[in-house]
Amino acid sequence: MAERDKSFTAKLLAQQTADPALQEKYRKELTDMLEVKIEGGRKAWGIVIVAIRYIISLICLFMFFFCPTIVGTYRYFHGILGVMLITLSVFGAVVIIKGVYKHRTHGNIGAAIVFYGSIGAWALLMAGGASNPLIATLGTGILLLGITKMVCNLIKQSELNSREQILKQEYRLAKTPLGQ
Amino acid sequence: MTRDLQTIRSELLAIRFRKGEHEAFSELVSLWEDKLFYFLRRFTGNEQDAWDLLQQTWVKVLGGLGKLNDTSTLTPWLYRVARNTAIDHIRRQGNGFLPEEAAEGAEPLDNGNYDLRLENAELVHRGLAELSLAHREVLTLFFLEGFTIEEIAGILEQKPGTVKSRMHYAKKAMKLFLEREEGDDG
Repeated sequence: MAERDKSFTAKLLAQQTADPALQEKYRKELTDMLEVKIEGGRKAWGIVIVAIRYIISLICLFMFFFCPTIVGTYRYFHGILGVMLITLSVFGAVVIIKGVYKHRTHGNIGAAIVFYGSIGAWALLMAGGASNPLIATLGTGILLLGITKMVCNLIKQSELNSREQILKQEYRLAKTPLGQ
Repeated sequence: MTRDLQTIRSELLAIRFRKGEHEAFSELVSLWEDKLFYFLRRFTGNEQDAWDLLQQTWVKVLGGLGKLNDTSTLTPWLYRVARNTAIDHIRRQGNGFLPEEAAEGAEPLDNGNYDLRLENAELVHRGLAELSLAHREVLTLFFLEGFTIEEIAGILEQKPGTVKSRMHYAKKAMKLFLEREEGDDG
C-alpha cells in the first residue's frame, strides 16, 4: 500500500455523520447475528431435533447389537449411522444447555467428530466382522480417513499458530518508533 | 516498509478467528466498521441502506473468513466483499448506475498533473459526493487505505490500466471541484 496521510483519513472519516437510532439498530442486529440465543421456540425446536436424533441413534445401535436377523452391510450401516447421530446429538445438546450459539470456525470440533466417529465406526466393524476381509478393509479405510482429517487439522492449526507468532512480533516491531 | 498497525492487527484477529475464537470477529468488526461504512455510504443514497449493506457484508465475511487462505490479503478482501455486496444491492434495486456503466471509455490520459493537496477533509468529503460512482469509489479507496492501482484493480476486479485511467480522471474532477470551491470561498 502506498504511503498516505493517516490523519487526513481520520479527518475524512470524521465527516461522516450517522443517525444514532440506525446505528443502534445495526449493532443490535449484528449482535443477534453473531450470538444466536437459543431460547423460546428455537430452544423447544432444538430439543425436539436433538431428541429425535438421539432416539434414532439408539434404535440404530440397538439394531446393530441386538438384532441378529439384520446381517451384512445393512447391519454395519445401522452401527455407523448410530454413532454419527449420537455424536451430533451430544454437540446439539451442549449448544442448547449453553443457551447461545456463537459463530466461530469449527475446525477442531469438526476434526474431532470425524476422528472419534471413525474410531467408533472402526470398533463396531471390527467387533462384528474382523474375520471378513471386506469389512476389515472398510473399517481400516474409515479409520484412516479419520486419522487423515485429524492430522490435516493439526497441520493447519500449527500453521496458524506459527503465523500468529510472526504477526505478534511484527505488531510489536510496528509499534516501536522505528517501525512507524 | 513495515505494514501499518491496523493491517497487522486485522490479520492477527483473522488468524484468531480461524483458530476458533469467537471474540476475534467482534474485534475485527469494531476495527473496520467505520471505514467500511464510509465506503458503502458512498455507494448508496441513504444511510439505512448503508447500514444494511454493512451488516450483509459482515454476514459474508463471517462465512468466508475461515476459507481465506492468505490472511495477508484481508484488507483488500474486506473491501471487495463490501463492494460486491453494494453492487448486488444496486442490481437488485435496478434503479442505479453500476460503477462500470458510469465509467468513461478507454480514452487516452491527458498530460495534466492532478496530484491533490489533501488539506480540507470537509471539502474532499463534499467533493466525493459530486463525482460519478466510478470515480468516487477509486478515490475513496485511495483516501481510506492508500491502495495502489494494482490493489484497487484487484478489489474492483478490473484491469490496472482501467483503474489508472479512472484514478486520473477522478483526481482531475476532484481538483476542479476543490479549485472551484476554494475560489468561491476566497
